[in-house]
Formats: sequence, C-alpha cells, structure tokens
Amino acid sequence: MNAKERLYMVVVYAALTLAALSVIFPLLYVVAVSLTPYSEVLKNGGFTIVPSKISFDTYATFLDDGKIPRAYVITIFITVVGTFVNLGVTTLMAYPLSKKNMPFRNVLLLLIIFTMLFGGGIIPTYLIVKATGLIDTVWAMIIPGSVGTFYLLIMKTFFENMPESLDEAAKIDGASEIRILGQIVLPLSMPIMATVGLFYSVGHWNEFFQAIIYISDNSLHPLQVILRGMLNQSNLPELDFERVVPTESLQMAAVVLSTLPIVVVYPFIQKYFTQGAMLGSIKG
Amino acid sequence: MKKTTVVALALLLTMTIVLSACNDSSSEQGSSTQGAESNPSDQKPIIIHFFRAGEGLPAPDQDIILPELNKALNMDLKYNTAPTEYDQQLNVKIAGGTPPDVFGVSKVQMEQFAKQDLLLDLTPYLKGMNHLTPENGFTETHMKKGVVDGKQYAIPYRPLIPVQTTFWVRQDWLDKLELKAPTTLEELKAVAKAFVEKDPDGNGKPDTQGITGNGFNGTLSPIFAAFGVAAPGQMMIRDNKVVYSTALPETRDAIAFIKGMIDEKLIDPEFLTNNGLMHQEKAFKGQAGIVYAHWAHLKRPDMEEKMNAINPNQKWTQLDAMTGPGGKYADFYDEGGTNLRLVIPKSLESQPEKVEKVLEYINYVSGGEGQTLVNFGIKDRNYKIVDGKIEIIEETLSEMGHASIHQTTGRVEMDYLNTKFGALAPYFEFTNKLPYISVYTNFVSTPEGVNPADKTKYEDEELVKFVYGKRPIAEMDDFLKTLQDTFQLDQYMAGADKALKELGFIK
Repeated sequence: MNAKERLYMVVVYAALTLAALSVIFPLLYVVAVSLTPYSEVLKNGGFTIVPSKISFDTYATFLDDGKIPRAYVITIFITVVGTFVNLGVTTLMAYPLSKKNMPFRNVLLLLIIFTMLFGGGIIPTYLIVKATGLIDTVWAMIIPGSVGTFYLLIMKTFFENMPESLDEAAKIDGASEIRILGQIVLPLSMPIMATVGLFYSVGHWNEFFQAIIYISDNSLHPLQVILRGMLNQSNLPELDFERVVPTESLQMAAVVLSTLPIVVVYPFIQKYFTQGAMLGSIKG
Repeated sequence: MKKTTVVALALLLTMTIVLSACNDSSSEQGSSTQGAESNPSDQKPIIIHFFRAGEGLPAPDQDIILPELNKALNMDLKYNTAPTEYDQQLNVKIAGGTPPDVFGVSKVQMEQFAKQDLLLDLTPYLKGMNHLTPENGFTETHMKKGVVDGKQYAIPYRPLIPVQTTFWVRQDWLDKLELKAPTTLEELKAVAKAFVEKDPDGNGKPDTQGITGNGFNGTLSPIFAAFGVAAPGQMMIRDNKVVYSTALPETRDAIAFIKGMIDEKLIDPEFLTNNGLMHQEKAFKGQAGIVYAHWAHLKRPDMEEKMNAINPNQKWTQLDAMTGPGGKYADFYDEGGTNLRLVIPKSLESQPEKVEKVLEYINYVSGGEGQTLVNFGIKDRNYKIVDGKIEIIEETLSEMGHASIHQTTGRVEMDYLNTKFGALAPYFEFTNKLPYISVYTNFVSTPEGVNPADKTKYEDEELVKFVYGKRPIAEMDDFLKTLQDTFQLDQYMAGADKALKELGFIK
C-alpha cells in the first residue's frame, strides 16, 4: 500500500509541477525579455529565459515617455475611486433588496435579472452616456458600469444570511435603517466587501472597451488602451517609416508595468477571495 | 420620518428632471451664441476635433508642433487617434450623433458614408484652398481618390514614392562564397540556394535561410513583378482593357517558380506570418541572407545601430530590380492608393465657421509655412535656412519624431526625403528610379451586393495552397472559375471597366 500511495503522490506532484511550470514559463519569458536589451535578445535567437544582460533601460524609456505615467494616473484614479463608487452603490442597492419586507422587492429583482440576460447594445448605451454629459470625461469609465448585477446578487445573498435578530435588536435600541447599515452590517461585511471590491478593482484596472468607446481624448486613455496600442504597433511600418516601432523588450516592459500592481496586491487579498467566492452561494 | 423621506425623494426626482432639461437648453444656447459672434478680433480659438487611426501624439509638453499650429490658426486642435479598433469607435461616434469635426476614412467607408449622406461635399470649398496645387502633389489624378459620384468628399493623403522596398543581400556572405550579386530571377534562386546549403556564416550548422520578407506580398511581390504581373488581386490595364492580375497567364508561371523555390526550402518558412520588423530582425540575426525590405529599415541611423549591436560584421547591399521572363520590374504600385482620406461630416454645415477652420487647417499643412512646420519644425530651432535651402539641426531632431503624425495630408515626398534623410539619398533616389507596374485597384469601387472580404479571403487562402503545392497548379482554371461564379469576379471587372473609363485611364 505504501509503495502504491507513494507512487500516486509522485504522479500527482509531477503533474502539478508540470502545470505550474507551464504557467510560470510565459511569465518568466515576459520578465526576462523586458530586462534584456533587444539586441541581446536577437543575438540569442529571439528567445531568452534567463537574461544574459540585465538592463532597466526599457523601464526607464517607459517612465520617461509622457504617455505612460499619465495613463497610470488615470488607471489608478478609476480603480480607487471607481471601486469606492461601485461598492457604495452596490451596497446601497443590495441591502434594501435583502430585506424580505421591502415593497416591490420581487419586481425589482426581476428587472435586475432581466438586464443580466438582455442588454441595450452599444449605441443606445452610448446615447445615454452622451446625454448625461459623461463623454470624454474620466467618469465615463466609472458611472455607467457602477453596479455589476452579478456582484449585486452576491451581496444581497450575503446580507440575507445575516441573522435577523441583529436587525431587531438594533431597532429596539432605536437605530434608524441607515445607522444599522453603517454601524452594524458594514463592519460584519468586510469579507464580501473585500471580495466584491477585488472583482471590481480588477475590472477597472483592465478597463479597455468603455475607454475606447466613450473617450476620444488621448490624454484620458487608461493604461490598457496604451498597452494595446503599443503591442499592436506592427501594422505597416513601411507606410510610416519614420516611426520608431517599439521593440519586443519595450512591449514586454509595458506588459510587466501593467500587471505588476495587481500581482503585488493579490496575495494580500487572496484569503478574502477564497472565503468570499463561497459566500454568495451557501445559505444558512 | 416617513414623510420627510418621501418629500426628499420627490425633490430629488424633480431636481434630476429640471437639471436634464437645463443641460439641453444651455447647450442649445451655447451653439447659437457661437453663431452670432462673428467678430474675428475677439473670437476665442475654435475647437476642432480630429480623429484618425494610428499612433497618438506625444504628451502636450513634448509636442512642439501643436502649439504653433494652434497659434497660427487661432484654433484648439484636439488631435485624437485610435491605435486599435478605429472603425468601431468611429461608427459609435457617428451613430451616437457626435461625429468628429474631421476624420479619416478608408475608400470603402468613404463610399458608404457618402451614400448615407453623412459627408460634406467639399467641391465648393476647394477653390478657397490655395495650397492644394499640383506642385504640392495634389494633381487631378490624385484628387480623384477622394471623389464619389462626381463630388469631392475627401482630401486624400499625398503619395509616397512608388518603390521603396527592394531586395537586400548579405554582402559578406556573398564575398565568402565568392558569388556576385544577383540580377536575374535565376541568379536570385542560385544565391538563395547557396546561402541555404553552403553555410555562409561558417558556424557548421544548417541554420541559414535564403529569402525572407513581410507576408505574402511583402516577400513574393518582386518575383511576380519580374514575370511582368502585379501580385495577385490587382487591377491592371493591358491593351486598353482592365485585367485581373490573378487571371493572367504569367501569374501561373510566377507561382510555379515560387513553388519551386519553396520546395527547395529557399524561402523563410514563416514568411507568411512575418509582420512589423520581424523580417528585418531575422536578417540582422543572420537567419536569412536576402531580405525584401524598406530602405529606411536597413539604413536609418537607429536601424544601423541595431544591426551593429547584433553583429557588426554584417554588410548589406541594395539590389536592383530582378530581371525575369516578364522584364525588369521592381514591384507594383497602386496609382489609386492613398494612406488617408480626410472627410468632414455633413452635420458640421450648421457651424460654418468650424467648416472654414477645418479646411483652413488642412490647407495650412498642405503647403507653405504650415507644411514646413509639420515637416521640419520650428525655424532656427529644428532647422535653419542656408543658401535658400533647409538644413536640419541634428541636436533637436528627436523633438520631431512624431512629425509624420502632424503631416495630415502628407508631403512632397522627394523633397522631404532629400532634406530630412539627405545622407541616405543614394538609397531612395535609387528606388525612386526603378521601373514598376502600375495598378489601379484602389480606383475601383466594390459592386453592389458583393462582399470583398470573402473574395479576398478565398483568394489569399487558395494562393497559399498553390504556392506550397497543396493544390496542383493545373487546378488554377477551376480556382479562377470559382472566383467568377461564387465571388462575382465578373461584376468587379465590369465595375472596374466603368470606373477606369470615367477616370480616363481607358479610352
């Protein structure tokens, strides 16, 4: 039995190691190429895993170019402010909907689920955003998408699972609804806030589509739009032969700079993530 | 408690309704006052929204050209570009009722929008644009590229020189193998064969290829040219009739020749998927000995630095056009092609001062001091006048790296190249004189009810199969028949005939 179990463990570990390597390998490549001057990369046949010469030139070029820091600021702004707005609005919507005695509760829930299945399309949404005057402002990336229906429903379920006795006890003591929400429910909801907050933040960090549809002003473009523009540079260098096409090292540096903050923050929030993924599903 | 919340909600609701109404009326007031103010002396700079695909301008503090443009024209130019998904963004803007004040379109878009009456007819305004002269590159033929149904809807970007890409060969490899630079197709094949078989980099490994380039046309087009035809998919004129290059007998011979080269493994196996500068990098790396590349990508100072950083011992020689069974032609050139067609939306008619300003801007950068500004920069900062000629000041050259973005209608190419890249004159003067085959594909519109993308996709796929031998060349007749039956090639040819007669290329 022991030998069989050991063999089983070996096989499992081998499979897991293989899977881990296949995931780490591309990341290593990206980091390695971003740190190696491009001529070195080419000399080695265009493929380096362990950089032969380390140079931070590519990163320096990036941070010098005015566009990247500007885009970074925009992205950080919409991530931080956007997530706050998201959490605020979603909470304010989820909490009342979690109370069974709220009037028109079922109608509202039905409408919300309806929007999960059917959408207006790009043009009608654009017309609305235009009519509210958000076009070409940073808020176009925050306000139109402030409530994600899926996260709303998760939050609602979480609030439903909170014991009613808490609510009743607070009411007996004379607290208003707002006060209950702020001082009792919210502190107990940190796990769900962290989880949903993380989902929203990553969504904001990756903001691309809303940015290109609603914003034409190049100075308001977030990081991902700039990144996509850089990685797409290969089109027709003959027609515009004066352009300096970014080398692969530069492109890889762009990729690293765009993903680094999320990668750094993620391990700290991970414990909430694994807890929170289950939160919306299990009742009682 | 309850009553106050109800009252608060009611107030909130009424406020939102009032605010939204307010917003609408204030914007209306704004535009009407703008129309009333026509006193030029105290007019604020007019805001112009410009939108096109491509790389964006650098951050405002690094752009020395834009402030000068704004100052000279009393405008506030919002130059916005879309590095990706330009068409989608443009469509959303137009459908949403906020088209840019001036934007770039492709030929297909121009025709589509003109049919939908979305574009402003520029014909009456042309006489006021004094820089759109033949001397500046705006010949009658050139302006035809922006004409739909007899009306001038677009100002087309001026052409570059017809041939800029040629074969380049690794001179030190030729010397090592004691070969001469090839001048005919057969010699080209022999040299490529030698590069593959005789280990010219002397490292004992069979790692060298013969020919590389960027994609199908970017590698094989010169070979088709040497057979006397343009690459497949083009409209040529022969004996006063329109012919389709794919259907010509010489194309068959060219494909057979190319297949022969591919069978002997003389062409980079990845040539179809090369893009950007991949072909140049393969050449610099020593992976290929012959590359079909633009002169700037081999000889521009930063490219030479790149080359020397990888291997300082390599030398590249520019080759003349290859002579083949069809004669000596370097490549084909589309007489109807243009990089950009600038159009103004019809809705801008309600703001005539904006229309004027847009056309003034386009006129400004098309000649005279405006053209000089976007070409070379600011006087005595980026260039100086020496004996009546412009000399670039090297130290500030890096400030003008984005200049080509500001050249909205292009430039007079040879003068520009000679001034900016004077040291490289031998290379582009040489390519400028090479014989080429004229095609007229971009003068021809897509017929009604036909989808060009399907035909192109089918044609491209089948050609790859023929060239790789996956489909025998004997089946080319079937292939052409399918093009005619399933993809309505006849309609294209009829449309081409009509269009080229109207334009006067066929009698």
